[in-house]
Amino acid sequence: MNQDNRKRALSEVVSLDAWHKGFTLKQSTASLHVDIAFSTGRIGEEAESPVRFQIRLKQAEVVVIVPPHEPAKIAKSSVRRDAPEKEMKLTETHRSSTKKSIVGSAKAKLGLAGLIPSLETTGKHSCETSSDASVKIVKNLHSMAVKQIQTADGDYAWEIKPVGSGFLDGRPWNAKKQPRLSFSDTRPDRDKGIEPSVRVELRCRREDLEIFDIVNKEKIGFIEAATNHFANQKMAAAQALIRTRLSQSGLLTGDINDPYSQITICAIIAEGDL
Amino acid sequence: MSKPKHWLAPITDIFSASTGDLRKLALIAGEDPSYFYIGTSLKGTDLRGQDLRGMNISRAQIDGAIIDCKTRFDWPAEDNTPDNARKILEYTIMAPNGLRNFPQSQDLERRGLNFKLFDINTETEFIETIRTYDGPIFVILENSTKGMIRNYSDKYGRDIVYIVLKRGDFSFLTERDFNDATSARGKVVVIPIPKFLGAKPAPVFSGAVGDLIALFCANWDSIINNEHIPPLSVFFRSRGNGTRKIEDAWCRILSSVQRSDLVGYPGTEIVDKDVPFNHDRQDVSDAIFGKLSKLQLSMPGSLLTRVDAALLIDPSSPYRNVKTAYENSVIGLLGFLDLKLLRDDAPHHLGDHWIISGQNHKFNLFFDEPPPKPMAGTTLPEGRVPYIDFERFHDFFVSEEIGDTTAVIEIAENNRLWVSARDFLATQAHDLSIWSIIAQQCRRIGRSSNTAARTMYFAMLLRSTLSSIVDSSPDSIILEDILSADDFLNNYTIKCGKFVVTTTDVTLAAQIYGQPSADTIEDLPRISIQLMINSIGVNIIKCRVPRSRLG
Repeated sequence: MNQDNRKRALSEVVSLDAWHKGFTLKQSTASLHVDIAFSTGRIGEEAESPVRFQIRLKQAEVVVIVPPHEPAKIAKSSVRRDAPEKEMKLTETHRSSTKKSIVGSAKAKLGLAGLIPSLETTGKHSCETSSDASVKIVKNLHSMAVKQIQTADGDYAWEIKPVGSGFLDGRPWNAKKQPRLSFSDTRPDRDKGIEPSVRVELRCRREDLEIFDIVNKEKIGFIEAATNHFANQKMAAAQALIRTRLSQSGLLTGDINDPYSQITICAIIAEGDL
Repeated sequence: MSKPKHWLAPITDIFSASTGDLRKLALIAGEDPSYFYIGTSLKGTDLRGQDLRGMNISRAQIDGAIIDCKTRFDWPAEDNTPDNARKILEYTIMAPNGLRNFPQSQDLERRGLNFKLFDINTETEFIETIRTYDGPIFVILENSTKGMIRNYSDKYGRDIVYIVLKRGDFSFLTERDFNDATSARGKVVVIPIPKFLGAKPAPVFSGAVGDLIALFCANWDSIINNEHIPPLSVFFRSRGNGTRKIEDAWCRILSSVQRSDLVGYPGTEIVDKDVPFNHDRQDVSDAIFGKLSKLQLSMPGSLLTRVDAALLIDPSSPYRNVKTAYENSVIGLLGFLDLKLLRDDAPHHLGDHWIISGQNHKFNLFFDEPPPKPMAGTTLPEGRVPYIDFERFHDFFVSEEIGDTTAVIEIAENNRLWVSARDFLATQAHDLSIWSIIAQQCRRIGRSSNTAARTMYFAMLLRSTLSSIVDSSPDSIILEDILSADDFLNNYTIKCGKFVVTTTDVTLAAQIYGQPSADTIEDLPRISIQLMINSIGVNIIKCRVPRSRLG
């Protein structure tokens, strides 16, 4: 029951569903569809909870796992490797000025590729010429950027990061039109035995859980917080407690002392549709 | 079997804990500190003096936290020098008696200053903090008592700026204040708090104190070791209005300095380091206060829009000509404004005086006249508005110590016009007249919160104006009727609206409205008028009387 509440907390930030066409004698391969929807969870409404807070994800990873002894094989060429189509435009501006100080800055951001070079120049002299160069990337905007990767265990995964905002919200892709990959049933006789099952997991790191708006239900009001010398430290500790407890309820892979160990927020078996 | 506790139950223990130590808070929550804070941003937390070793805290996590050189992390301590700490914590304030008006500290936050506030209950923590912290430290004292600063200085043993808030008229800096200040480490800055605030708490963090803190924080090193700043100084700063903004600001400062009885003492003008300084040009500040030494400081952005003039006065100097100091200041100002001045030694029944002349007018300026002291219970006359011919005034009595009530009573009953240095600012050298002085005085009295004084002043002014109008409109006849009624002052109030000031004239909107009392049977009208005052006189541009009164 207790554990359930925590699970519910995590399930509020994301819903995960996965399916594929059922295998038949004629049909040996099927596409795997994964549907994910991110949202902001509001937790702690139940009477026993001493606090109320909101939670959302800063980034996450969807992993497709074929368990070792399953009779299934992923077709490598079918793995969706989203290379977003983008068009780049370079604009350069040269300015000369006799102002007292000039601050020029040039920044290039390639969010989708995860590469963020940044250059900033600052000048403070009278009579100075500065030139700015900026790279403009023109592309279809998505609220999330998806990058295909492989985990340390060799499983196929997709890293999902927000674009523009600092958190994930909505669906990163169209599950029906954009299957993640195809896999084939490798049973010698598809009439016998059990259909292979593929697991889909959603994982994140502890730092990716954004916990905010913590309200102490017992003493409502910010006056207490404003006059309390330790308010900020206590808020940090409260946040840390929520984060720690949530990660203990999710499946924490790796050492708890390792800052990069991941939590499995949810895991499902992809079902075969008829 | 007892009901299992809620998974977040330990949060209650965290909130009710009496510690801000992260390690202890983790243990209170029943968790291992070694992993408890992984992934949690520590922005805004106060980590000074905390040992966070072995707690898996990364550098990114402490971005925006308050640390000092005693905060210990897993990385080497050299990376954690006081210099770094200082960037994060801009300054520390100690207010031993606590601050009754704590919410005002928001004003400092709005200025983007990051600070930590202590009071007498957290003094141990304060002493602990300043031992390792070498940034700006302020101690704010409301009315220091004998030896207070010396005691604090001995106890804290650091260079500190003590800000002493002194209420009321000055002349209260005693020998012990000086002794205290000279024996203390750091500087003592006195800020005069207007007396009229009465028992209300002084605006500790806004106003002058906030400005001083912002200014000193931005220039801490050059101030604390500056020998030109005396151990004890009095801080004045002001913002100006109107077309002569800087002059106005300095006149306001002159007024405060005079009321603090500090005119004639040497001072240091604070000037913006970034503004090129012309040594040949005479500044209004020098004209008023004699040659001021200049202290070039970098002005924090929050001050640029708030402060047009700032001055530190050294009240310890024995060289001062008390008697003529104020006179010299005003004469200096008038000279700066290019007004023709002449010292008149011819005997006059009111004593020595100056003659100030424009193209057509001449006025006598008197400085020696003691300003009438407001007596307890002095009230303005009621009933009828006296008729005053303003054109008849040829003598100006100059003082900064005249309140609005006294000024109005003096005009009504003694035919004396008291002016302050600011009243000369609207005057252009070539067209000096009584009205250019009145125009400026209107701005001051029009803004006054003293309703009775304001009403009487403007009623006198309007009566005088209406009597000089040759061709009267029906509206102005009604207005004159109302103003000359026997009970005008009992039944009416005059409120001033917006002032528009140009180099030649002042335009203002006013409303005369009746206050229904038990005696009045009929409803009293509300009359809107618009006045323009320039050196020629007062013009009633607009006068609107409700139609029903026109009958």
